[in-house]
Parts: sequence; structure tokens; C-alpha cells
Amino acid sequence: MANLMDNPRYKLGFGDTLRIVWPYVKRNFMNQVEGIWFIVTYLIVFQLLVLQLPIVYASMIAVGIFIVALGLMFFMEGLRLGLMPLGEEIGSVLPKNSRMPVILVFAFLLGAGATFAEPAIAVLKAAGSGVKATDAPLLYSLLNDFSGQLVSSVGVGVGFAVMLGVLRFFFAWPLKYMAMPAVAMLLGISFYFYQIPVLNDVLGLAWDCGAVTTGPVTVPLVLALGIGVCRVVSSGSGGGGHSGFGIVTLASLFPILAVLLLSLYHYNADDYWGAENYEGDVTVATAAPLEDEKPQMEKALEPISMIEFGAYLQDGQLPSDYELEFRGGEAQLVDGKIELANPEVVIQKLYKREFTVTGGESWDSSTPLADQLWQSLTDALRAIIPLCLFLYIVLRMVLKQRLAQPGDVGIGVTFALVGMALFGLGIALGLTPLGGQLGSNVPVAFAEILPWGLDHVEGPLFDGHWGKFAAIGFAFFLGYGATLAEPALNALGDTVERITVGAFRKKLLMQSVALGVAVGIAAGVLKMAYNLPLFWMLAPSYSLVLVLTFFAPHSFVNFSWDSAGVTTGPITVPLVLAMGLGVGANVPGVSDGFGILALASVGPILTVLTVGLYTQHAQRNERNEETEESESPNPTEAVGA
Amino acid sequence: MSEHPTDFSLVTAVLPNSSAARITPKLLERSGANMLTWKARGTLLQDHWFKRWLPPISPIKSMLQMLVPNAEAGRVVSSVVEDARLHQQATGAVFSTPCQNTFFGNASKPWPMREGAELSKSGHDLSENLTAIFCIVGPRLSDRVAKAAIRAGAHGPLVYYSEGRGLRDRLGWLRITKENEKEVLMVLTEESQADDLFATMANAGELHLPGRGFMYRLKINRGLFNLPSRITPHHYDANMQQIIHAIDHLNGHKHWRDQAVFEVGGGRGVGFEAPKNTTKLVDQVCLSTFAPRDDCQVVMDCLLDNGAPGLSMSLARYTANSGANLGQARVSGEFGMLRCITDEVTAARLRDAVAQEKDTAEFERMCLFTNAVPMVATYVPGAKDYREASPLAEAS
Repeated sequence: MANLMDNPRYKLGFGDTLRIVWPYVKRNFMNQVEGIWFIVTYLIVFQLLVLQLPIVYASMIAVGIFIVALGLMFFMEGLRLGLMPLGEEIGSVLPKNSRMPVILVFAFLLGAGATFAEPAIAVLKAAGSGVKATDAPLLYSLLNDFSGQLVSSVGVGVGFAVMLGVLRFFFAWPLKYMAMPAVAMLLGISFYFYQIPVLNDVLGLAWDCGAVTTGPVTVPLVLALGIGVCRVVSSGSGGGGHSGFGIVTLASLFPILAVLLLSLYHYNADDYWGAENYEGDVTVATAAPLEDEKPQMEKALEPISMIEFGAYLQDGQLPSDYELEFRGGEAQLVDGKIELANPEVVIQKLYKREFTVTGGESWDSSTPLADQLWQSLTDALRAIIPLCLFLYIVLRMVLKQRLAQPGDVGIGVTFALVGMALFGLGIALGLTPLGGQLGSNVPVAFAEILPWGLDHVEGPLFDGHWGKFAAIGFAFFLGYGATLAEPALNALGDTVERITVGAFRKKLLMQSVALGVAVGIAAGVLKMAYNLPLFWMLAPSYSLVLVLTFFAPHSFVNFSWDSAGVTTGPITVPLVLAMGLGVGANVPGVSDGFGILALASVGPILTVLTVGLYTQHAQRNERNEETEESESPNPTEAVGA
Repeated sequence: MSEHPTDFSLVTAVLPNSSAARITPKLLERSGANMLTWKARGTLLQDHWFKRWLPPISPIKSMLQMLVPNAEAGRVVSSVVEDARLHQQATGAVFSTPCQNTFFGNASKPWPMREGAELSKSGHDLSENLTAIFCIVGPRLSDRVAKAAIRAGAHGPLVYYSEGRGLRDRLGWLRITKENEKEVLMVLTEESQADDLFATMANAGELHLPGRGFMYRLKINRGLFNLPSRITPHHYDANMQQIIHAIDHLNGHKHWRDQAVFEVGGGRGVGFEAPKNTTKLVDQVCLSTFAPRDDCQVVMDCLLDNGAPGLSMSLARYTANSGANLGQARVSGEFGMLRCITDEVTAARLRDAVAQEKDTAEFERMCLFTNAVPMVATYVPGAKDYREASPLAEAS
């Protein structure tokens, strides 16, 4: 029998091919544009209109954003055609063809391998770039001396999580009763850490590790694996064990535990920086110079002219807007008053918001395009090829099964590769410069900074707390927009919609997750702006999550906890970190940007659970009628009697 | 493979997940019995004034399907009615569709004949004048069609996924351009209202335009449905549906609905528009094939090679009495349903083609049957300029 898939029946000319491909490309491209237009427009509008600062490298950013959309288009199609079918195939064959130990070993290797393929350590290093060894010795050591151990422990954590997640499908353990004790335990350990200053510094890192481990390749693969398993496994009882979700949740909880334990080990072994058994060769000198790199904190003041000075000498008439400053002198507290002895009084004209733009470049020439492309291509290869190869080898060698549609999967993996490379390039060209500028410019709302491309310092635009509130409000919308564009979340949304046969729409999930992330990131910036202790932000929010989880229906528990794991991806992280670090740098006492991502993961759990509870409430109406009917006597019998 | 001597019926039950899980073991207690479980969603409109503009609420449902000998069908249906308490409001539906020309692969086991003793008997009368309307459209259209159906008086349609196969599969690598998923809306209705409802749904989905979708009707032997359509505000003492059902019970039949309610506006069926511009097809049959997921590709190629116009393929979980276990879970298989609507000549050719391949490994576990299709609506290329009006007529 002729195989249709190999021998196309119709030969198409170039024109016909184009006519078929064009609507397809257009549809997929517009889908991605729909995802990213909000964040891009928002960033540009905020920069130009609210902060009234120019955009540097404008044309590079425009090209970059176009490439991001193009890359996302390829990547999402690659997920649909290649990566997800591959994962599902394995998931559905595993329970049939192999025994439990094989399945568990496979799951562990997959989880651990995925972490090494998409290492989050670069992100964590970026977040901890300002960490000084003197302030947070253990944190510093973890990021520098023990960074290998950090990645390994995260990998092991994810491996165990995937293993347990798969095991869960076979025993129909509800996610509720796994996630709740885990979170409670994590909170307990965190409370212990909170009380010891050296360990307290590590909390942000640990909780962030949970958020960043799950990347855009890992999440869809792991989701697909779970769905594949659940396609063939059933236990009769409900309990939500069989929806295929939940692995991502565990994969974001276990790394936290792993990092907490690792830091506890080093704390007890006393081999972190500055402790007795420290063996590293990093000295304070490398960390200290950061102190001196503050931009010159002088405003471009209008000098008082000789004419005005003459007028002042004559009749003591000051210029119309001036500022009085006391310098030097010795302050003493006398009878409840501060008395300054011999102060130097300086009169200055008030600063006017006029500036000249120096950085008018439209393309950053410091990094050549070819290097960027090569960099993103190698990243894409490293993230996708080893994992796919591993899955394919397992399928062929261990399970002895052929791929159902090797052609489609091949096209899909190629698409994913091309998409990932373009996506990385686009982010480097477009989103990172834009987000980085804006992120570091945001503190202008409440502090004096040297913005990009200007020759002098600016700010504060708002007085007192209002400036910080403005920054927090900015963070809210940034989180919202960035989340909508996140590829892993898009994949999760598609999967949820497909698994529930449209009962839970992708749009609803995306909107509620985006809202949650927005709230979480705003809370994170609040933490940075006021240097609040992370533990006291995590504890109440996770307690609330625990309460809601307890009441929510099982299926929603699965989605909402999983969506928490996927929110922090390649679009959100650079934008949010740039802003967090920018805000942190202008608040005394803040040394690192950790904690924001952890808070960004709590938000979506809260919102999706709330949506779940609401839907349950709405459907109760239907059930009420049902019970009323069943309690009332049968009308026919009533007549008969 | 050969045509099975007995006549079979396809028994379909639409239930909430909880009662589906409760009923499955009861139906499968006899060895050799098997069924397919489909994931589906219901549709509910909200009647609160502000929620009317929100998208419909969609509770998750299960659809169970069994291919049962005709002699057994009545008993299986009434046992589902009894066990799932289907006489109550908003519980679900069950019906049996008569099948012709049933073929079984060498290794596939038909539903065992059994003494009816173990099955619960139902005292509730089953309706015999029902029909099922199936509408296959893209995901963006399904809400519109579902709303139109509910407003025309139907229950909230049941929706499940299927994949359109055939046309783009013949295009080589361009097959990747096909749309992901199609949604199949299923509505059960009284035969007397079916024509109008059919036309309303076809109009709402604009099926006279190319590429929109496909609609067909299947005859139902007997069945009972009690599916909800709306969520009404609390302050309604009893909703309209409940009152209508109470009157149904008092009268013992549903014919009064035609006479009493629907003649108000002059013609029968208030608010129904005249169908527009839909192409008619005559003498159609629905050819359904069940095969294990792994074999679907080969079966599909065979059907397409022999002239099937296009197939809709949907996947279901196969549950049988016997099955492997891993951990505490049952490892079950997956079956695909390949369905196409075509004329009788083509259907006969397809059956012959499948019969020729009967000894191939891939065809061992499949089964195939046809149903008569009284009405079809879709755009037919080349038959006529679709912009021109052509009245929809009943076939056969």
C-alpha cells in the first residue's frame, strides 16, 4: 500500500505553495505579535512619555523585536510539531513497554539533564552581580566558589521532582497533598534561615532557583511527557492525579529545598568566604571597587550669573527659584534642637529639567551581529539537541519503538532550533537593551541617577514615596506584559486548553497568570524599594496560597501551581532583573536582585486558584438545580397518587 | 475480517466525570466488554444580565461509547439511565445509534452477548424519535454555533476535539500548515425540531462558505437526554426547563411542545430563519472506523487511497475489563475514531478495500461500520458558486 505521507499526491508549483504557506505564516506570526505588542508598546510609551527620556539604539531594538516575533513563531510551531509530540510519544509508550524502575530512572535523567541544558546560573549570577563578599559571604561563595555545586544541586532537585511527578501519576496522589506539605516545610526551613543573618542572605537565591529552573524547552517537554503518561494510565478514582500536570510544580519546589540544604551544608562546614575553612582565592579587593563606581551625583545646575549675584549683593534679592544648603559645621543637640556651628551656607538656583542627549546612537556597535547570532545559536543547540537526542535514543533503544511521524518531528525540532536561535538573538538585540535602559531609568522616579544616553544626572521626578510607588506601578504592567509574551506559558495555555477540551480557555489562563505575575513583581519591587525582608513577604503569600489550595478543586490546583513554574522565562527575567537591580542600586542596603522572581511565582498561583474557586461557585448553580430536582417528588408519581 | 452477522448499535453516554467513573466498572464487569472514553466539554449560557456577554461556561464531561449488539442495546441504555439517574435534571444523556455493515478485525472482540439479569432495568421510558446533529467547525466558530443552538431551544452542545485529516496530508511537507484542532459539537434533539435546529446551526456557522466546517445528522434508535443549557439567576423559583420537564412528565410525551408553544409565531419554530445557501448532498452515509492509535495512520492511508474525501480523526481512551496494571493505575490503550461522510458507492468501495487488508497486522483490532445520514451541510467546491442561494433540502 502506498504511503501517503511519503508520496505526496499533488505536485504543487511555487505559486500554489506560497498560497498555502502564506496564510499559515501570517496566522502564526500574528499570534506572536498579539503576545508581544503590549509589552513593547508599553516599554516605549513609558520611556518616552512618562520618564521623558530618549530611547538609545532605537533601530537595533526595532529589528530585535521583529526577530523576537519571528523566533517565537518558529519556536511555538516547533513545540507543536516536534518537541511536544516527542515527549507525548515517550510518555504514552513508557508505561506500556517498561517497568517502574526504568521509568523512574528515565524521569530523573530527563529532569536533571534539562537543568544542565538550560542553565539558570547565568541569570542567578546576573541577579547577584552586586553581591559583596563582605555583606553576604555565604551568598557570595555560593555564586562564585560553589556555582558548580549550585547547578548540580538544582539539577538533582529537578530530577527528583520529575521522578516523583511521574510516580504520582501511577498512584493517583493528588498534587494538593504533595505541594502543601512541601511548601510548609520550605517555609519552616526559611524561617530558620531568616533568623541567622548569614543564611538569611541566601533565601532570595534559593527561592529564585525554583522559579528560574524551568525554561521554555523543559516545560513543554515535561508537560508533554506527563500528558503522554496520562493518556494511557487511569486509576478509576478522580482526584486530579491524571490530568498530566504537576511535574512543573514539583520541579519548582524541589530546587528550593536543594539549594537550602546546600547552603546549610556549607554553613555548617564553615567553608564559605571569610569563614574558617575557606579555601577559595577571592579577596575583598575584587568586590570592593564597586563602591566607587557611583555616577557623579551632581546635578547639572544652572549657575547663578554675575548679574544675579550683583543684584543679590545690592538688595539681598535672591533669584526667583533657589535652594539653600548648609555644608559643614558641627551639629549639636541643644535643648531638643539641632544647632549648627559655623555652617557654610550655599545658595543655588533650582535645577531645571533641560538636557541634551549624548547617546543618540541607533545601533550598539560594541557587539557585532555575527557574535550575537553565534552565541544564540549555540545556546539553542545546547538547549534542544541533547534533550531531543536523549529522548529519541530512549525511544529507539530502551523502548524499541519507532516514531509515529518522524518527518513532522524532524521539521518540528528544526523549527524549534531556528526559533530558539532567532528568539535569543532578538532578545539580545531588542528586548534586553530596551528593558535594560528602562529598568535602570525607572529609579529616576524616586532617586537621582544618570540615565542612559544623557550627559548628567536626572531625577527624582516625584517626591518621597510617590516616586517609589510609580516604580512599583511600572513593575506591575511590566510583569503583566512580559508574561503574556512568555513562550513556556503559551505552551502551557495551549496544553491546558487541549487537555480540558476547551473547558479552561488559554486566554483565561494567560490573563489570570499575567495578572498574578504583575502583582508578584510589583511586590518584589516593593521589597527592593523599601528593603523589606523576603521571608515576611513569602510567608504570608504562601500561607494564603496554602489556604486557597486546600479549598480549590483538584484540576485547578494542578494548573495554577504549574503556571507558577513557567512564568519566569527568557522574556520576563532580563526585564525584571534589570529593573530590580536598578531600583536596588538606589536604595541603601540592597545588594542583590534576588526575591523578585520568587514573588513573581506566588502571584499566579493565587490568581489562578481564585479563578478556579469562582468557576466552581458559578457551576454550583447548575448543581443546585440538580439537587432540588432530585429532592422534589417525581411529578408523575405525584399525579398518580 | 468479515461482515458480522448480528446488527450492532453504537451506545453513547454523555455524563459528568464523576458519574462516568462510577458507571464504567458496572458496564465492564463482564469479560470481553470494552468501551471508549472521550474527553468532552459541555456548554452553558449564563442568564445573569452582565454575564450574558461572557463566554459560555464549559463543564468537563465524559463521553462513553460502546458497540453493542442490537439485542443488547436497549438493556445497556436503560441500565445507564438507571445508574446515572438520567431522569433527573442536568445529569447527562444516553442514546443508541443503529449501525449497518459492521466489520470486525480478526483480533477485535465484539461486545459479549449476555443475559440481561445483571444490568439494572429502568422504569423510565426512552424517547424513540430523537436525532443527533454533529457539527465540525474550527475552535473560533464553535462558541457562536453553540450559542445559536441554545437560543434555538437545544441543550448546551457537547464539544469534543477532532483532527481534520485528508486534504493537507497529501501536500508533502506542507501538511504542517493544517490547523491544529477542530471541534465537534453534538446536539441531541427531537426529530420534529431537528430540521430547524440544523438550519439555525448551519447559518450560525456560515457553513455555506468554503473552509468553515461540516454538519450532519444521525438517526437515533432510542435514548434519553437531560442536558442543561443555561445557568439562571437564583431568584427564579423554577426555571423554564424544569417546568417544561414537569409538563413532559405529566403528559407522558413531548409532542405538546410542538403544538402548544411553537405555533405562537405562525409557522412552527419561533425565531428560526430559513436556511440559506447551503449545498445539499444526497444519499450519504457516515463511515466510522475504530482502530488503535498506532494503527490509525495505516488505516487512514488505506481509506484515503481508496477515495475517502477527508477524515475527521479523534482519539479516545480504550478501557477493557482486562488490562495491565502499573502502580495503582490501570494502563489502557488508545483508540482513534476515523469518520468520513461519503456517498454509498464510495463507502462500499472503502469497505471492500478494508476487507482486502484484513490479514495485515494493523487491521486486526479495528472495526468499521456505517450509519445512514439523512442530512448534510457543507460547502462543496465546484458544485455551485457558493454566493448563489440554493435551498437546503432534506436528502433521502
